[in-house]
Amino acid sequence: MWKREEPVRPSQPASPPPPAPVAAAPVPPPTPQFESVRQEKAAVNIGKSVIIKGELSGSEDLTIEGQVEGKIELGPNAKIKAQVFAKTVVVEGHVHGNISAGERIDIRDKGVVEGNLAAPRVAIADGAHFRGSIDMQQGGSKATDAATGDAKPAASVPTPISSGPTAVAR
Amino acid sequence: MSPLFNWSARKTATETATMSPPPARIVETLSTSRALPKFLSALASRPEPVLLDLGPVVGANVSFFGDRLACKILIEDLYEDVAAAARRGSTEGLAESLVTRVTDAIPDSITAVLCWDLFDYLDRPSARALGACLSGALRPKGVLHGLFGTTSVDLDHRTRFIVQSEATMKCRSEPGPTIHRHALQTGEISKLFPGLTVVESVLLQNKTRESLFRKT
Repeated sequence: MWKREEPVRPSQPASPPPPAPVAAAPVPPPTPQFESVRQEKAAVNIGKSVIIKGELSGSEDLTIEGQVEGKIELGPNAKIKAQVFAKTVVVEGHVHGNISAGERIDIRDKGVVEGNLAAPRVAIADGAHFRGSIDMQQGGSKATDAATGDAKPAASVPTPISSGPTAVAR
Repeated sequence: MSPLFNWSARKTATETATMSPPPARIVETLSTSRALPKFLSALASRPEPVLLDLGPVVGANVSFFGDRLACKILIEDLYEDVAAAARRGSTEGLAESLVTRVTDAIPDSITAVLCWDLFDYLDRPSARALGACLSGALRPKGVLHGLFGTTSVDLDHRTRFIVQSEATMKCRSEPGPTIHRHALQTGEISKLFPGLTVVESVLLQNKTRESLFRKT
């Protein structure tokens, strides 16, 4: 009943309409997203058209293609794949994307960042892993530039996250 | 009471010895640099300098160069590729992967390069390929700083270089995979980077040759 059915082809001129055991309103096949959720435990994906205002917390993989205005706090094993803008950004987990801060970026000893950083001050603790570029020339004013830059390794560029005073990725 | 107390302490030491491995050795030494002041001067005189660091990210270095030079810093730890090749037991493809990583990292051109001791761990073809790539990426009057060992030996640690001041570096040895360190001759070193001339070459107290190159 829930199997994806072959889509009904447009009417083929040569062949007569097949006898239809299906009623006038056939059951639509399940949507691909529904299928993927059922078949495997996919990472949380915030789509491009989604805007979240408030706090977002969790401890699993997260892909943000929409916008989050507020605070993002993820558990130590979580991974952020997004671009981050905030006044101050503290990273204790894994961030794949560009980070831009008006004041400061702080990557803690367990932090892993692959992307470009732009902030007047950047502090990277011993033990942290980082790969990318660090721009302290113009800091937060480069927020727009960072958003358009490519993260390393190259990936689809998600919509920037605008956050409140502090974004914490643990 | 005393024997009981002693027995307790002895048991704890024994349990500790069998349960946990010995802590990794981390050795730190200070080294005076002759080339670093010239390297900094060359960077400071350039507009919007871009510095390529081929070692692991060191927060202190980021702060040091960022505060003094307000430069853009590109971090590409090529030692990771070298370690991976050592674990594989083959340097096949190493030259290509190093060049690709550097090429991808550099948006246009760079003002300066910090090689640290990376070239000590490269086979000759990889060293030549990477040297040519870096030389090509440097802007005119750009500078390249490198450290070269003088003894050929297998090492079970890597060295992390931490800039303490304009003329002092802290060298921190950290456990790592066993990798052979080559000893390049002075003549070989000067030919690694086509188009670059040696501006400074000095033997440090720790028997490492510190060299500074400039692109004409």
